[in-house]
Amino acid sequence: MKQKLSKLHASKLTTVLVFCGPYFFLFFTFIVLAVFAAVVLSFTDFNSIEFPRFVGLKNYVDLITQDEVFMQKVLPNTIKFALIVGPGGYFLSFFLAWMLAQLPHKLRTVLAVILYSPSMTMGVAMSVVWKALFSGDPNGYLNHFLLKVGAISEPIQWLQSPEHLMTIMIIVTLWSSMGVGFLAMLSGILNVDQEIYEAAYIDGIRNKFQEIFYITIPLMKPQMLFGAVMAVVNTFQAGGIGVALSGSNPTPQYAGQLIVNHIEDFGFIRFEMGYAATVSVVLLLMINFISKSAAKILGSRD
Amino acid sequence: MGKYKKYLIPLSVILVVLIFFLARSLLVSNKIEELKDYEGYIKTNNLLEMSYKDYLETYQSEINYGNGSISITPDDYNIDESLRINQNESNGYDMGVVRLNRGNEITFTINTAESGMYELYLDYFYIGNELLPPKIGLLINDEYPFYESRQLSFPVTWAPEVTDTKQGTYQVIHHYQLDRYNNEVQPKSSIVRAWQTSAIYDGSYFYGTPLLFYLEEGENVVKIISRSNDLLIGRVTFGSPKEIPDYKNYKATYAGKERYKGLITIEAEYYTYKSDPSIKLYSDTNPSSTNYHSRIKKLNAIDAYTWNEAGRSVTWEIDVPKDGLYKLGFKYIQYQMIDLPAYRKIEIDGEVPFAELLAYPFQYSTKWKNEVLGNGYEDYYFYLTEGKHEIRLTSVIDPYRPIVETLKSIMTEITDLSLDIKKLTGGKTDAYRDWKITEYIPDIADRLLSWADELDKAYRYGNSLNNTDKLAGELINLRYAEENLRELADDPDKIPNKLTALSEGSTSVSQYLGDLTLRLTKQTMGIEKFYLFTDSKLPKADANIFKKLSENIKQFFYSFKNQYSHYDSKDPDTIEVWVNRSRANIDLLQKMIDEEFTPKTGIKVNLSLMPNADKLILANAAGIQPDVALGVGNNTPYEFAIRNAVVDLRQFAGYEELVANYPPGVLIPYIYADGVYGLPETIDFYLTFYRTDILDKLDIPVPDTWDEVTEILPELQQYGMNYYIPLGSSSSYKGFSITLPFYYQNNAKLYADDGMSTVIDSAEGYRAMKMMTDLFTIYDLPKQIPSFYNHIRYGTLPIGISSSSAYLQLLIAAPEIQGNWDIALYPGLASEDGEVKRYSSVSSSALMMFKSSTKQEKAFEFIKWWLSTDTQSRFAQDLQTMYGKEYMWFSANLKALESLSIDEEHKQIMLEQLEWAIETPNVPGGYYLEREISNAWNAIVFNDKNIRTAIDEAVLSSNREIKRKMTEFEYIVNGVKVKDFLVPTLENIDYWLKERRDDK
Repeated sequence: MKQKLSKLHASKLTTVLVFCGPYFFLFFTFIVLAVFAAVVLSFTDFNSIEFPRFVGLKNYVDLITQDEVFMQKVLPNTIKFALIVGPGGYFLSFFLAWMLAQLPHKLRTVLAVILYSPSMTMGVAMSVVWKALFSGDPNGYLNHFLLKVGAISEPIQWLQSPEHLMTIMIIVTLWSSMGVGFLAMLSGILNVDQEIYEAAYIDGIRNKFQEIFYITIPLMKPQMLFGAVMAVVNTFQAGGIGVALSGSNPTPQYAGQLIVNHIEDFGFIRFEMGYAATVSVVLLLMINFISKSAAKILGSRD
Repeated sequence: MGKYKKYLIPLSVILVVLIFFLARSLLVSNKIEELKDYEGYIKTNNLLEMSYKDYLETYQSEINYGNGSISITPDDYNIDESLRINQNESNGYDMGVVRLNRGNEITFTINTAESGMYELYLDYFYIGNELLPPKIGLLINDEYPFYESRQLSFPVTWAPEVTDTKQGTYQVIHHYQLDRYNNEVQPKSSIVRAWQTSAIYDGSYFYGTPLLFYLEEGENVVKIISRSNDLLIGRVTFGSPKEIPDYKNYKATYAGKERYKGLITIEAEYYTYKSDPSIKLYSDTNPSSTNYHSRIKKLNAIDAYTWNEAGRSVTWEIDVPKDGLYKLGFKYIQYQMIDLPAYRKIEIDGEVPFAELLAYPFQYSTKWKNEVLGNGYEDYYFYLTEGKHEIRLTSVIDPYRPIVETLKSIMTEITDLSLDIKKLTGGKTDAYRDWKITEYIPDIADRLLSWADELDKAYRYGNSLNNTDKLAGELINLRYAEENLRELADDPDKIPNKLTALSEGSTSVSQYLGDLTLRLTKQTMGIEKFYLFTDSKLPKADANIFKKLSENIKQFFYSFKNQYSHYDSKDPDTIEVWVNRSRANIDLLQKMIDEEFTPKTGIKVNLSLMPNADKLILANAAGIQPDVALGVGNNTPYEFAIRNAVVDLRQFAGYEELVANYPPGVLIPYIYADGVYGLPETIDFYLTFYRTDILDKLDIPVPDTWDEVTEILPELQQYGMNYYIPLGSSSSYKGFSITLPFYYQNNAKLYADDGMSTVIDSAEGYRAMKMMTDLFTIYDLPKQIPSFYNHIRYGTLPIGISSSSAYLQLLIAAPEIQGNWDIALYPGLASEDGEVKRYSSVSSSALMMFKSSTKQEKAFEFIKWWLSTDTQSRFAQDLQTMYGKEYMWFSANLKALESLSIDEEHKQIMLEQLEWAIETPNVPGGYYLEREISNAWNAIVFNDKNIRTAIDEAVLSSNREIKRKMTEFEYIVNGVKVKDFLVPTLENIDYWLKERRDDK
């Protein structure tokens, strides 16, 4: 009897290995090992050419005390950016998903594809659409329109001026934030059983607004959590926007500098990989913290 | 009814779409009235001579085909005696000749029995090396008969250099040189050195036939001024033009002759001569082209892109087997002129057989097509005797000339009009101000409408040239321009506020017309082969779809085959070199290495294409870096040096002679501590560019010093124009290349002598920053210019500072201002001793050698060979003769730069400017100073920050960063300086120019 059990156990084990193996292997190599390497490097001084030199907590101390660009520009920029794009993008995703859910099936599918595509075509759309729209030349679309209408008398350097760059970055990122989270929320809303709504109406709910708050949201908590995590990750990772729009790293007067740009600056331009690793570890901790908080609020308690 | 309700929305959408297309096709008519005869609109400039068109009209009646010819020999020339060459040194002429350099003149008297129009023929032998054909100016009785006679040209013949030839049945087959992978390599071309006789053509080849000159009966004094160097001239002959019959008469002459039975195929890639080295061969990958191979590149066609400018010709020598009548069919492709034909003049043995071949149209075709010469009703038969004949096709634009001349005239008139408007309004377009333009320029609306009418005529004429009913897409610019003009003429008083529709900006009339002019003068056409035949069916021009598909798949798989690393890199005699340049450069370099370097030294070189210099960092981390890297940015050697990854080149023998050829300033970025870790290959420099026509008209001198710059600003700004400096570009990052000159010219240093801090807060540094910002805050130089190149073309910024890339752009891609711009030295500051210090930045692309290399001596042999004057000159020249004159290689080796084939006067200015070359020294943390200066500049100019405050803040942050980096590289230990960092400047540079003679 025991032999039979262990044989069963062994074949189960093999099945588990075969199915989980590839994923686990890739996950381990590219995520676990990479994070581990980053953490180790964050305690070193590494100029990307010579062998790293152990310096202990010096990088972390430097980050908090010496790095004025990080404290004065990067951190505030990232928080401002994150607060607007994160929750903003999230609510926008939800709102649009809910509106789409009210439409008939075929139209909904078409519109869903249209809303989802910006998040996929980021790179191409960047150069073709946004840079042309916000070009600083008097013939750029926005400038030309404003000049013609008479709202401005001189063309504005949208992408080069510190005042406008951040606003433009926020607009572009919001536009492209209908990503996987959006799709998940759409499916979550659609999954809610129609009968529950009918029951609720019998019970006294009067309008759609109440419907959302009392029925839809509580019933799609898992999707909301997923959407929230995706929004957070997306926000913090959207570092490339500032550099892509303005064309230079660092962005003019550090106006569009986010944490990811800061990491790239130190890593590839200043050859300080150790310090860049430190900043990336800090970023990781920040994202982790926010995700955990989101989970606490939205996670299902069972 | 209810069940169909759900189809309501989709159906209505489809219905709307259908109605839209229906309405569009009904209401928008595509029909226009074609205009067959159009003369073109030429603005007569009464300051200069009449145009050739008017000249021809005036003397039309004097054209006489029977007047015979008169020759003048060199003995009769009235010329500076030192220019004579006697017969035995004349390279094979039958009498003594004269040698002309730029500016030399020949005068002689010619006696004609009858007055009439004559063609001019010259016997000439070109002994120079310029890539452009030689030009002369001609005066009759002390004046230029017409405007074009100031620049007359005659063709120079180039032949391809081939390794071997074989006599084929109907032509000579060339064997082209193979590279190490058996691909055929673009052959170099060289001038055919022989005495030639040719008629005179106009310099831009707008007229495909030789120009005619009117000579009175009796004595005429003729003067020829040479515009080129190294020209030997023999006899000059004036002859009556020959009358060219039309095809009807030609056919009648050879009516009874026998027609050849059979098909003769002549390959275009085995051409005999061409008129310009830029005409290249091309390896077409369509399986129907011969020669073709799936894997290796075979040159099999004349490249359409390079056979474009008017006057470019290709000649094929063929062996005709039998006397008889032959038809000519060409397999060609012409995809550049959308819906319009490209024209070619077709000559047999130097003569046009009949008038229809003066400009034969090859219609638009995006795929290879067979064109049998004919007039649509019948095919042309040519009579050819047995033996050798030359067939020549020349690109001509005669049918388009009326349109081009109209465009040029209108563009000039628009420039004049907008200048007049700016004179009145002061240039600032305030949208709230109204102007009564009609009071000052009462006929402005009429002028605009007359231009619009001309454009309409040009459009209708242009459309009559294509043989389809479709409207020519190529000419659509004429319609856009016409619409703009009519719209502006509707409300003339609003014109000052709408100059962007007239002359400035990418949607202005000027721009539309300029773009079209550029396109119409380029008749791109490619030829793969041609046939002589009668009844045979010509092979299909395009391979069928299955063959193409299978070949595409084969080519796809072959592209993965590693074409490099021919030599084993473990071989001690082989070095690995990674090059961050284009494929064309690398192919040529590999060829030169295989032909000269390896046989001479025995060292083999593997070249690899490195698309991105960042690969070097990664390669370094993986331990697979090469021995030498070429084409990297000029900061890269320093970055690697400070991290111990590259080799100090001072230690090698021969270093000193090598660096003697560079302007010393260019080496500064490659210096770290005691050594020099990189060497420059190409150099970039800043110059003043200006519009001669605008500055002449406004009588504004070209400024030489910054004081003079500010002096001309009031006048310029009065017209709404300005002076551009790179600090005003639209990128907000102001790097050292554009801020450094201000520091150097003001004698301000960037760093303290020990390198541990920055001293831009010194009195001189303050002055430099003040100057940089005052130009914008007080003198109002333009601040947000994305493209100076565009603005100098539009005329809104007629003068400014830019780099050598602007030089290339203006030279090649600005047809509407051709001849109307020039360069001058970078402005400087006058110093006490009267000398003007005009320091300017020179960035360069560099090479460096990796420390990990085990073959450093051999690698340096390669570097020495590559950077030597001989190799650099030859590389620059080969690049141009192989790929075209646009491929300019500005070598950092000044001696090599002297032999670059560009306008002589421009070259002298560049060389003089390079005497003031400086670059930024690399100091640890220095990149931060660059950023802080840029930030300070931005804050002062845009945010009104106080200069002193901005500088002080910049100094504070920069010093901190410098200290940080110095600590990292152990110049400061525990906060105490342990050694100085020697900052290289122009004053102490000599130290690094010396080789290390003692032990390392």
